Formats: sequence, structure tokens, C-alpha cells
Amino acid sequence: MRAEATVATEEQTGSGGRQEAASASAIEPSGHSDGGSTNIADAVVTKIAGIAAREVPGVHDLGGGAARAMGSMTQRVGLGDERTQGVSVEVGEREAAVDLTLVVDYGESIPQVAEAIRSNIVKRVEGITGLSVTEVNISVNDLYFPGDDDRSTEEQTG
Amino acid sequence: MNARPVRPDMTPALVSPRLRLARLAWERALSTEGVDSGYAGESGFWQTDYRGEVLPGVLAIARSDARYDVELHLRAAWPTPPLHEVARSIREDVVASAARMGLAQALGALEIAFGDMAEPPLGGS
Repeated sequence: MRAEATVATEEQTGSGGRQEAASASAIEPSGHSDGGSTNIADAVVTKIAGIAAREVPGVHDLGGGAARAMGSMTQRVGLGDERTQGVSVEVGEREAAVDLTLVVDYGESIPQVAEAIRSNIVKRVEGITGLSVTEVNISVNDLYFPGDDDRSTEEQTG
Repeated sequence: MNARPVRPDMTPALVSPRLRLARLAWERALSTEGVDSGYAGESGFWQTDYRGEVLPGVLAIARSDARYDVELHLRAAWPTPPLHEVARSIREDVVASAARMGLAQALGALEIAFGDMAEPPLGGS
């Protein structure tokens, strides 16, 4: 059933299912049965995608510079959630699209890291929610060099 | 609403079907693998008071045909199994339990929503 829907969507939208996912974003990702429906909130998909990205070696952190700065501030006062920073999802009835912003460890192959992230997010999101992941867009906005943290700590204290 | 609070010493037969269904669905959901807890929402809207205790994440809503639709709002556990399988398991369990307790005729639709997910500690999965 889902495979048929996915094929039809790809034929209609050409390069991807983002249009379908966006147009269906008002509808909860649901499975209907005679006894009622099952809904999965966007927040759940966002957390799964964030955790799946962090599982990949070479991913140092998620989020852009501003998001990480704000994130560390809000986490210090107990308001932020590091796991969802830098992750945004569009969820349709049967499909989801994921956008990620992240920092990669210096020395890692960015294409390989990106492909591993894509693969892990698709596996986790599809396995847990039953949603078909149409695209994972990855934006690498910085490199992390070992020692960066030590240097910034020294600058702050001294 | 001016309903009297339900006394703890009341027998199940004296407790309304609405409360019995809410309690039953809540207990069955929380005993299902893959469910961490009930999820009352940011504003605490999705919850039921039962004998003075709060059941977070469940609502039983009366219909015009004397049945009650039950809404379960849940936080998924981590590691998270396939959520549609978890929902199917809850649904089967609730329907069977309702039948055993003579509530099959009172149970309407069972809506299951996963509104949040428990998280692994940072730095490990």
C-alpha cells in the first residue's frame, strides 16, 4: 500500500516527494484501522532524525553557529534540547523530508559522512514510524578541529 | 462539571464506564513495550482524573450512541520499536481487556497518538 503511494508520488513530482510531503503537512502521519487511527507527532520524527544523525561517526554537532550558541545558552537554563537543534522535518501522511545543519570533524570525508547520515536517518525513521523518507538535505556549516574547545575555554576564562 | 468525586471504596460497577475505559486503556498502554509514559501535552490538556488521581495522556469522550471514544497520547520509549506495531498491540490489548470487563459495548474508536519520545542520554544511544 505504502509502496504504491510512494511510486505514484515520485512519478508525479519528479525529483522527489518534497511537494507531496509539504502539501500533506496538515495531515497527521497516521495509520487508520477500523478501531481508530495512529498519529505520530512531528516532534517524534525530529528527535529520531537528530539522534540518528548523531549516531554517525564524524558528526561533531548539529545546528548552525547561531543555533549552537543559542542552544548552549538555553540548555544551561534547562530550556533547550540539543538533540533537535539543527533538524527540521516536513511530515506528510506517509512521507517525510528532513533538513539537517551540522558540524563535521576535520579529517572526515564529508560525502561519506553525509551518505552515512542519509542512510541511518532513512533506516531509523522508516523503521520506527513507517514513514517513507523522500529526502535528507544536509548542510555542513563548519568543521571541528580537535582543540577548538580547549582554545575557546581558555579565551573565556583568561 | 459538578460530578461527585469517585470514592476509592466504590465497586467497579459503580464507577462510570467512561472512567473504567480510560483507566483500562491507560494501564494497558503503559504496560506495552515501547511506551514510556502517558503524554498530557504542554498544557496538560490530555489527562483524566480518576478517583482523585490523574491519568496523564488519556481521554474518554462520550458519543451520542452511548459509546466512548478513547484517546491515548503517549511518549514512546527509547530504543523505539516500530510505532505502528506498538499501536496495534495496544489496540488489541485494550479491545480484549474491554471485552473481559464487559465494556466491549462501551468502547468506541481508540485513537493513539505518539506526541513525544523518551531520549537516550547524550553521548550514547
